[in-house]
Amino acid sequence: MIKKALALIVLVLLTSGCAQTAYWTMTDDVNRVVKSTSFQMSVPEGWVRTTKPVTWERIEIDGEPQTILLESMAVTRDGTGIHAITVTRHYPDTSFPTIKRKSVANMLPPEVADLYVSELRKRSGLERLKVLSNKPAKVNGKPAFRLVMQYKNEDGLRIRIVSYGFVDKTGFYTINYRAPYLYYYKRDYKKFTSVVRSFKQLKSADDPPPEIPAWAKLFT
Amino acid sequence: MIIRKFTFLAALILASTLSFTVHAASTPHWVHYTLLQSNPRLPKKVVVLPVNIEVLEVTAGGVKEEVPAWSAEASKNVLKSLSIAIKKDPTIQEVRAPRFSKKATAAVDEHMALYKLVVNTASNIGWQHKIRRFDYGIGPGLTSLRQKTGADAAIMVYGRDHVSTAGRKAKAVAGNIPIINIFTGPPPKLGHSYIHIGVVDLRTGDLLWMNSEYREGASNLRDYDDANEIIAAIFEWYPGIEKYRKVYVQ
Amino acid sequence: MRNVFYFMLLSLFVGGCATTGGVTSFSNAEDTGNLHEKERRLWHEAAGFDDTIARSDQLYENKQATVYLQNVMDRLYPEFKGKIRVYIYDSTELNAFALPNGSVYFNLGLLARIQNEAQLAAVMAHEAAHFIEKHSFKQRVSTKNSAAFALSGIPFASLAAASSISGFSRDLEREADAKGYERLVKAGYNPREAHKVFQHLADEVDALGLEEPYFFSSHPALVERINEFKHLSSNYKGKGRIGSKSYNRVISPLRLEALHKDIGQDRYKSVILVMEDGKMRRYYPSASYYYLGEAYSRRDEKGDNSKALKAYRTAVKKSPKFAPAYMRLGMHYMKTGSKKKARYYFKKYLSLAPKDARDRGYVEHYLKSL
Repeated sequence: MIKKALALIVLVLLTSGCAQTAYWTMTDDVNRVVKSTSFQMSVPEGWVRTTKPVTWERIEIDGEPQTILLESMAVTRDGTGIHAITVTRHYPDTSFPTIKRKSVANMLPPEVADLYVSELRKRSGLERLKVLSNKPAKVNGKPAFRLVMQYKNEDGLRIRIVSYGFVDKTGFYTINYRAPYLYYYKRDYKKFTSVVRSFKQLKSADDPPPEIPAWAKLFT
Repeated sequence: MIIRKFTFLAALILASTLSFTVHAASTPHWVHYTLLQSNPRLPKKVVVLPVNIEVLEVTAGGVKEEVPAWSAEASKNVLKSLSIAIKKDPTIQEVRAPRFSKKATAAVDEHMALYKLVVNTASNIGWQHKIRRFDYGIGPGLTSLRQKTGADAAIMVYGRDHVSTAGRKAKAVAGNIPIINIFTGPPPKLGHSYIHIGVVDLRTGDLLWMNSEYREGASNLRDYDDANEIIAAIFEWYPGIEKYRKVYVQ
Repeated sequence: MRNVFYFMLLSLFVGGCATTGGVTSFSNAEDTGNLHEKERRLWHEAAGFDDTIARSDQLYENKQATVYLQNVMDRLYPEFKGKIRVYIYDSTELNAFALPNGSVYFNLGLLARIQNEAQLAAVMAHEAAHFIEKHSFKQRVSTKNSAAFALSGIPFASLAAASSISGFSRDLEREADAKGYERLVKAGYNPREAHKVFQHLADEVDALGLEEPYFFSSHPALVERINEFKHLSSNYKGKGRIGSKSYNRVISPLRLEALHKDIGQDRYKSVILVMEDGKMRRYYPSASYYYLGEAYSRRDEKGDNSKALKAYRTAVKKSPKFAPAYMRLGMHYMKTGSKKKARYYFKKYLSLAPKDARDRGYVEHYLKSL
């Protein structure tokens, strides 16, 4: 009970006005290059991006809530409810947390793509997420996959997801684009590919993964 | 009178609204930035797309059940009230909606689904630059409707009505009476009506204008007068260009 | 004021005491046109659920299989032809459910586990009995004001409660067993097959430790069906139809599809369980060994790598025209440095895989690099 109450307090503090910096930042000439801890990329001008990387996520594994550490940045033009480009790094031990698989540097892109699709299906509850294509690609010079996926929401709207992903010894990286297939998908697809092209890993990617902080343990 | 922009998918949009949120909007409606320029091209002819208002009956235990006959009645009232509201505005004229083929119905339905997603996000976005330059849309996928009807814009509506059963109303009364409420529990929330209306440019798909109204308590869309009053309240702000400019842009 | 108080008391009393008395079951298709107002609401809700399923791509489209299932249903309930509609629900979870408006959904996963037409008919007769006996309506009336039903604002949850996704009360389930059993025998099926399907499911639920919120994935519910059907068929002396050939001719391709989806959803335990069970495996096409290989590879326990390789090789041997196994073998040899073998398997894959095969791009890419 006390644990739950503490967790609630932490959550409220994190999501309320106590945050020192704005969650979202408008991108302009000055801040188009977004630097996370271990990667950077250029984002479209006039869009909105997360000011700081998100460093943890709350997920359900076998029905039990868990907190995992990751590094993630999001960019959107119209709001994440409609569309978003998300760049995420999962650490090797929790690369595919819901299906409980780790990433290993010598995994081939089609193997990683299969695990990623299973992870997405299980984590999001999108059992019928369809894979429309799965092709080899390169991200930051590394062999990667390029997946095109689609599902329909309850109102029958087609939502398309394009994911580029690769693994190396520092973890599993994905660059995702999600948008309604009608209008939005085509409108911003080129912008997404330019984000993919601009993606670079930073030297700090080689640093050991952080320890899960004490407050995050309250959630598990 | 003024109903604040209704938080429809609060949880979904929470992340979007954190920080730089504009508090206490002074106008309830939204106007596309192209209409804020000099000599805006306002639509002259409009076509109203099929209206489906879902009326749910809520029991004392909180069970919600759609009543098809009530939904049909409410939809009819809203459609009729819309026609009256359009007639009252000398700048617009309603044209008859065509009969849609199966394929066309599927296309309209998917655009309606996109419209819902877009307005739910747009209504809650809270980013100043998006409010100042409101540039949402659903794309030009419905241009064939313009060719078919000659309409410049489509009016898209969605809404719902929650009506309490007599048992729920009684529980609400009992819930407010000390001692008795020990047995009945706290009073449940009574019904509400919600309508969202948008005007979409059929050439570009731009969401030119939108507004919504949320009422708690006794209002009931099956009652023609109630429906008429709600629609009139929404259209009171159409197009409201100057008001919008004054509050958000200048 | 006093009147208001009496009205309040009466409303609270009436609200809390709804009964199912007076609900009569359908006797034929014409009856379905004569619905009580409250029942009509439930049908409307069910029709909305049908629409949601169809427009959000949750139907598994296979005309031959759907027609076959519908024919079995019409054989069981000829007087309801056109009113009870059977659909295949695109899910590998072990479930089937009947909506109050006569739509009966069979999950792909459940169809893959059923072994013959008599077993299918047993589940079907049970599900359709829920519709004919108006169990959804009865359940809704009796639970309408309970707090447990408060989640019903969510359309899916509402129908989940109203249909057999989570199961009906024990009495209603028993009634469906009894009515279903009568139909099974009347339509000429061997009712001794009935308990077997529930037994297979119970074994699987046990072995996998499934905790899905579905009736056919719930161990106590299955044990009760097993006992009920064993009891009902104990005096049966006839030689009813089993229909193994006809069922498996139609369903066999769906089994491959179900395995593919199982792997895609990381249900590798289920694939291993089915494919390691000799009795069950014989119903699966030989290309299924490929999915067994995929399942071992996903499980990734000690020795699973070589088990996976063995399964891929068996797939190639037993189903030489099934392309995906060649790709996996090619990838294995490429990783272990056997370039010649890798080239052989990749080339073989390209010669067999359709032009738009999902993985063609990778194989072409790897062949170039070898």
